[in-house]
Amino acid sequence: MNKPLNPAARKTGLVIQEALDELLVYDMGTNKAHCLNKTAAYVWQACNGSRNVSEIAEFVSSQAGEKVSDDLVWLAIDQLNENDLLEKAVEAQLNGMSRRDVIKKIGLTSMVALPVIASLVAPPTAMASTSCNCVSDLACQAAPNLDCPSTTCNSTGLCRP
Amino acid sequence: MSKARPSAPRDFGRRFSFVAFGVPISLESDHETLLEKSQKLVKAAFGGRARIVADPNAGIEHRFRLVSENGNLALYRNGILLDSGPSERHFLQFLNHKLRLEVAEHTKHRVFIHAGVVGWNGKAIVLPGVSFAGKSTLTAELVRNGAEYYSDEYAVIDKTGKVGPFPRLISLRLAGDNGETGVSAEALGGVQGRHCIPVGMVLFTRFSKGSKWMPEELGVGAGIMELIPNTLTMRQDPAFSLKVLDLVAQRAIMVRSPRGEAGKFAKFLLDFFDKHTKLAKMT
Repeated sequence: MNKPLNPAARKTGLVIQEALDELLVYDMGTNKAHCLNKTAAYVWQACNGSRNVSEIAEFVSSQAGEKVSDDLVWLAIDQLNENDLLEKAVEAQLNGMSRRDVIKKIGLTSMVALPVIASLVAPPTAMASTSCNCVSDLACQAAPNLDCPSTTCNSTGLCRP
Repeated sequence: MSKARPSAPRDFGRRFSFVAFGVPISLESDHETLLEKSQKLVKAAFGGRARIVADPNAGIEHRFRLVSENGNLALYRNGILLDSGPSERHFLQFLNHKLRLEVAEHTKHRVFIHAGVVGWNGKAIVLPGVSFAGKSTLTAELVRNGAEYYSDEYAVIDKTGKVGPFPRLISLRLAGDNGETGVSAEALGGVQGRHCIPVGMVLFTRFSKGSKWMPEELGVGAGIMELIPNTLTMRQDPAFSLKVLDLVAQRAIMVRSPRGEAGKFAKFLLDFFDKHTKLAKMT
């Protein structure tokens, strides 16, 4: 069994695509896409359930070629938690500091980029292709068409005034 | 939200089925003329990529029913009412959109991105965006300036990262008109692209009055994240979609910027693309 402080990267229900220096992770359960920058990707890949945070920091240091602090790893883990990318949530030990304070602290000392995870929800298909065609108001009021300028169908067959 | 009203259980008997981009779809109706018009619409909607199939019931999961009831035409998809109304013209426009969307969502070997696409010197310029962002207007202006027309609706990208044509009449909203007018590439003095070509540039832009061109080049990851909201196949097949988006992002320049009037901007954009391409060749 994993020790409580040894974070393990989630393996199931995800599609992973390397994209140059970044890692794209798509969560098939929530339809969320995450883009992990290089540092966040190193940390996530180092989370094998047997390394503790200091060991992850060592691993990331060896990959990045620069010394990485435990604080930086915690910062990444905090975001991995938030995005449900760990098997089990691990409470980030930021020593009572806010994420912003930790970023300031690390920023002054680290040569390695701060870990960043950008996320978005892939929209339902129809929303990605809103055409605003309609026969009556029904189509305009359908949820996927919310981007159309109007919820009523005009005389030309479009959801617009 | 679509009303979950089941369609009439009776068997209409009149139906046809087709396959477009590997997606089998059947249409049935109690209205013979409407079904005939729909068959013509299917041929036009997929630019020769739709094949009518002989056995209309063979393993088809995507079923549309066209019902004439109480002076209204109603469209059902797999038993769910999508919309209904008295105008046949609007009904056929709506059907056209829904059929193309069905194919875009369920195709297995292509990634469909909601975007305008033109070809320029053998490479595609892809303009992703939602409706009413000025996508078709800019596409039309690029065609007027000599670019080949591929689509004003979907960028259809294969597993090698190349874009193929998915044409329809360019849907323009003319001044003072609340509707859309379909215009061919030829009517704009342009030509239709015929071959699959690699993506050279993806431009995320939106018309904003008085805006200036302030290009921000996006990295691979950021570019893919921008593309995801416009990618129709994302939820159906995220692994294939991400792989193809990655191919596109690795090879193309990905730029984000607001823009002003399409008329002036189109020529400028083609010059920008030429300069960038030359620079990329030199480096």
